[in-house]
Order: sequence, then C-alpha cells, then structure tokens
Amino acid sequence: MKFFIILALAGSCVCLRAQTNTPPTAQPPETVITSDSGRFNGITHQMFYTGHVVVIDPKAKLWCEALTVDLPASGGRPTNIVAITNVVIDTLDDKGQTNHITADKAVYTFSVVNSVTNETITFTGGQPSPKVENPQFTIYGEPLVLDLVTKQYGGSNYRMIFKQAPNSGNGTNASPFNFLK
Amino acid sequence: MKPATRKFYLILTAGIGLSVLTDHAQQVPVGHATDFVSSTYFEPPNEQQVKLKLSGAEALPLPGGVQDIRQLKIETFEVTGKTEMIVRAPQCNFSLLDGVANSTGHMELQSGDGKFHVQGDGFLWRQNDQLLIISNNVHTVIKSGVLQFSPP
Repeated sequence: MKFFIILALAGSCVCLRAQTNTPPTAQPPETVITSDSGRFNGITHQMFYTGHVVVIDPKAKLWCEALTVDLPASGGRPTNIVAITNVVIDTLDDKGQTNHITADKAVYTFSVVNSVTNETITFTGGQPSPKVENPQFTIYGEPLVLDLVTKQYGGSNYRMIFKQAPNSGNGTNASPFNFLK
Repeated sequence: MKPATRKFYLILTAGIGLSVLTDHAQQVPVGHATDFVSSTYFEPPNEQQVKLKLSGAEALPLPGGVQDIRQLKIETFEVTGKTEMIVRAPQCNFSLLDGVANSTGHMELQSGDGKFHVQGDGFLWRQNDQLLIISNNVHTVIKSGVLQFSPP
C-alpha cells in the first residue's frame, strides 16, 4: 500500500514538474467594452451601448457616447462597429508613440472579399474635422480613413502638418523636410 | 411569430400545484414549478428544430400571470441546432402571456461560440423581438483578437 502511495506522490511530483516547465500558452487578446447601459437585438445581432462608453483594446483605448457593434450570426469577429459623439481614440503605433484621434463619428468595417481582407476605420465630423495627433505630425481629413491592413491614413480634404521637433535639424527653424537637401 | 408555431412544452422533474393556462394555441405554465424547460420551435418546414429554450431552477407564481424565476437560462439556436446565444440571470420576473422577463439583478449574455460575453445589472428581455435591454454597468469582453487596432 505504502509503495502505491509513494508511487502516486512521485508521479504527482513529475506531473507538477512537467507543468512547471510547460511554456505558458498565449492568451488571445481581448477587447473590453464598458458603458452605462446597453441593448442587444437577437434578430439583427447588434449590440448597442450608450453612456460613457469605453473600449479597451490591447493597443488602443476609445471613448464615446454611443457604440454599435454588429456581430455575425455565425460568430467570429464583429463586421461593423460605429462609435458616435465625442469620439476619442488613444492608440500606440509601432514606435510606441501615442496617436490621439478625435472625431464625431468613427466607423470600423471588416470584410474578406475574394480572400482579400478589408479593414478600415472612417472618421467624420469633429472640430473642425477629424484629427490625428502624435509627436511628429497632425493629420486632418473629412473623412479621414485609417486602413488597418496597409496601416496608412487617407481620405478627402487630407492635410498633414509636421511638428517642429525640439532638437531636430541644425537650427530652431529647421524644416522637417531637411532630409530632401 | 404565428401563434400556432409558439408551442411551449413544459418538462417538470418536480412540481407543486401546477396548472396549465391555455391562450390560443399557446400553452404556458402557471403555478410553482422546479427544474423546468420551455421550448419554442421554428416555423415550418423547420418545426422540429428548437429556436428558443427557456429554463429555470424554480418558478414561483406572482399576481398578473407573472412568474418569479430563479436561475433563468435562455438559449437561442440556429436552424442547424447550433447555439446562437445564452442568457443567464439568478432571478427575474417573467410575464407568461407577453413573454417579457425583467430583473433589477445581475445578468449575463454569451454568444454560442463563447467569444462575446456581456454582463450587467438590471435587464428587460422581450421574447417576441428578441430584444435585451441592460440597464446598468454593462461590461463586454470580446475574445480572440477582434479589433486589432494598430495605426501606422
């Protein structure tokens, strides 16, 4: 009997050791949405959030007053998300810089057509128009479109203003286009 | 939804003082019931497939055809039988005749694939149009990497 107990304890130790050496499995990224109240339509598969809406994504945080999320009936990722009223997004780019986006409305769309993924966020409205700010530049556009596949901004009435970096160039009035010289 | 397609079947593992109120072709339970299940089926030609399943640990009768349901669970299904969503609430009042559930307590909603989870406090659910209104403290978790926001 004692032999079996010792064997069982030894086995459990081996198991524990094996578990300790197992590399931790990567948790899938999660998006968390909080709001004052919400409404889910089971027929249209649409979730509607109102009041102090906050979306926390691994790389971004969004604030707005109302948010609608279209969920495919078959499951999977949302195909359409609309944020309205005082939309603010803070997101980290690949350089670790914060991009601050403001607009009246932001529309996220995701689709796969003929094996081609389309994923964009279209910003409209604002004061006076949608705006992206980071330490290097400010971008205006109406609408302003962020292509999440190519990672590029575009849109109509597009205007990009480079900022003067404190220690850039040879003098205080150095142009951000100095690299053209 | 046509009345003829709104068939409710009550399965009781234990029940006290159960009676059945007939409203057109619809049968709804009144009285005290425990561990009950009530199912709604799709319209023809899929009348064999369950569209919605409502279950609970206990149902206590209240005035006005309302039931006080404990451990409510509402499941909706696709025609294929795949689970669409599940709603859970520890307690709610369910109006049998108009198919409306409401509670000031906690509730949870989860998609069939488990990738979408919502919880909140205080809710109203209308069976006819499958509308769920959550009153306070709405908290949603979307799993598996949706919204992979990454700017330039």
